[in-house]
Amino acid sequence: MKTWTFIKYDVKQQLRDRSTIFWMLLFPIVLIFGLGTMLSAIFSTEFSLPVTDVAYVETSTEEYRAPLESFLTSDDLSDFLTLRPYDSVAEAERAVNDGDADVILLLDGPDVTLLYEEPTTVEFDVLEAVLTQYTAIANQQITLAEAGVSAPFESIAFLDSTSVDLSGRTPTSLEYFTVTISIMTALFGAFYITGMLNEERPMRGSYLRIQAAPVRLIDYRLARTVSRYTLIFLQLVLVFWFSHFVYRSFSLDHVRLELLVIGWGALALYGTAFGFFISSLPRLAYSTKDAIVNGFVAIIMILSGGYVPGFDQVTLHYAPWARYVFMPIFMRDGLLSILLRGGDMSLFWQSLGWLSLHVLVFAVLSLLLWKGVTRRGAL
Amino acid sequence: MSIIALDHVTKRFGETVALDDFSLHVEEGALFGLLGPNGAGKTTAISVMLNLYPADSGSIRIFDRSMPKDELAIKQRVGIVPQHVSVYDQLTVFENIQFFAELYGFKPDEAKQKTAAALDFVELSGHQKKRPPELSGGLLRRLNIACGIVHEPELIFMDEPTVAIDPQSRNTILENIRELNRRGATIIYTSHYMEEVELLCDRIAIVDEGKIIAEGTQDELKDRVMTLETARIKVDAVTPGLLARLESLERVRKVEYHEPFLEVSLEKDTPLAPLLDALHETRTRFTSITVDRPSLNTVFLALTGKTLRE
Repeated sequence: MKTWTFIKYDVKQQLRDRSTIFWMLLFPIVLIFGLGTMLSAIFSTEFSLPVTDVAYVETSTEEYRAPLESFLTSDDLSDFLTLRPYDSVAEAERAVNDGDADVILLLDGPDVTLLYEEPTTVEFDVLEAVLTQYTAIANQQITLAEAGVSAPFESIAFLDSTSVDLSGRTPTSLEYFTVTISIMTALFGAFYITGMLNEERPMRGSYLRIQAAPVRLIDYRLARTVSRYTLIFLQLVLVFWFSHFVYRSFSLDHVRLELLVIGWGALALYGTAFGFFISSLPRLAYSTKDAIVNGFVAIIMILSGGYVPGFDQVTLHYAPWARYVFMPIFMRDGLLSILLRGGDMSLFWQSLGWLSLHVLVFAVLSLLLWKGVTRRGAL
Repeated sequence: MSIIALDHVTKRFGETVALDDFSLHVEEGALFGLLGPNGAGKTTAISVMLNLYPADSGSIRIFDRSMPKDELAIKQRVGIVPQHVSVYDQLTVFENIQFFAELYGFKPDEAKQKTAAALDFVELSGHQKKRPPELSGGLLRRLNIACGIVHEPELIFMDEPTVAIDPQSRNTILENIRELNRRGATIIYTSHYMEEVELLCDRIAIVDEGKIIAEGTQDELKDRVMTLETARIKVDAVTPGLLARLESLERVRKVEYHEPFLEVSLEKDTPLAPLLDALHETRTRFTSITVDRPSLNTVFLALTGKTLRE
């Protein structure tokens, strides 16, 4: 009953606090909106794909070459495809390396192959889909031509959101960012714990009345933790709702909601465990502990690519073990696997395993530190 | 019956001894003052009684129950009005009080009724929708009191509740305290304002350096340190023979004239009638006569060698 009273009034206070509303609810939305604006063109049917230079290498015969070249130079495609012929794949590769071409299209006998670098952005996803359609249609045309059947080419819309196959693809920057925000939000749990304990200095502020009231400390802390995570949950729902309904970056048909909630719950537990760990460090002022938590979150987010997408690759290059130590890295992979169709579920469970291990370590360390500090009478 | 019984309580903060063999007994229904300078140990004494700081040694019994063993049961019957205003800025006046009512076990509907009554009591009903930052210092102090008494506690600790407020609010608060006591609450009132303690409290403990150095009614405390009183008589002129006549009176120790006042040192509780007779006999015209009784500050000075505000 008293736990509920604490939760009710604490949530009410948080929702009335302008800075909380800004940082917890508005700021992530503003960030996602900003990033989304930059990337939204990708999802727009009015977006004009930048002209892609295709290095074209053919070692085929006339019967295969003529229909394909006719197809690729048609008016429908010439607006955003420039065909540059090269004599060999090696020359085409040099052109790609020199920046003169974006992809290599190889016609070898009846086979059409698309060669390009490992895609990392949604632009490549879209391009891949378009070119895959090209090659599919080209193959069809070649096959028809080979069979001596005359079939007119029908113009189709190559650019629409459904033409992008989501299955098993590399996450876009927006998805990457949305998931990172959720992880970052969970880390705020650590702020809450140290902040909450900071308010618990005896005989200070409103906490004095709580101390004097017939309330068990554990009920008070539990209630405050629940109330703070209620806000975090609200933020997560808002972030994912915004990301999905505004940018369609996640298809709800493919999201495993129950696993997503488990993931969020586990992240909340991590934030709590880390907060308790830091707050139980002996001989440090609460302001110092706050600073440690702030610094930790900032560093872990930078190294994990939370602020600069792709920086995690740099971190992993120099410290491969970071994959198992930096929570945002393994949890991002885990969460993405349940948000994207065809994601590897074992990756999700593996990330939860690592997270549990971290929580356990923090819990044990907190317990040992609490006991040590209490025994020495430093509290 | 003693509602509070502290025996030989000691509390240290590092090298500092905040309470040193502190013993205190307060009867039910009392309006009891803890008087002492800042840093004397008054707030620490309250904190230890409520187990906000655990005592290092000694015995604490409140409502004849042991602290901290029966902590929650004791706290249920106790209210506190802290020295610093302790409310939540993001809640309205009404919500602040209701929150504390619910914290003491009242259901929301009951808590609302109690809150309305507390608001009436401290005369804050007109401000119930405001948030604390919108209130003046005096109104904040009243809110502070309302939060501490909304659950109608049997024992109320008031820790310097009138610090830094205007005289009008102070009078309202002092009247509130008297009314709470009339309704049956035992009140422990700490202050370093001796005038307030003199005005309010029927029993007083003087605290200094973590110890109770004297305890009793105001008269008992003054009796302990005072043997002389001074009668100050404002006269038009000193007639011949007056000084000799006064000095000859029984229980008069000394007579001095500092125009226009005649200062007569008397043994404590000396009747003034012989003095008035002497003035009449010598045809001395006087316009006023006052007897300087000792203040609690005088008592404190006599006991510790320093004043309350040092």
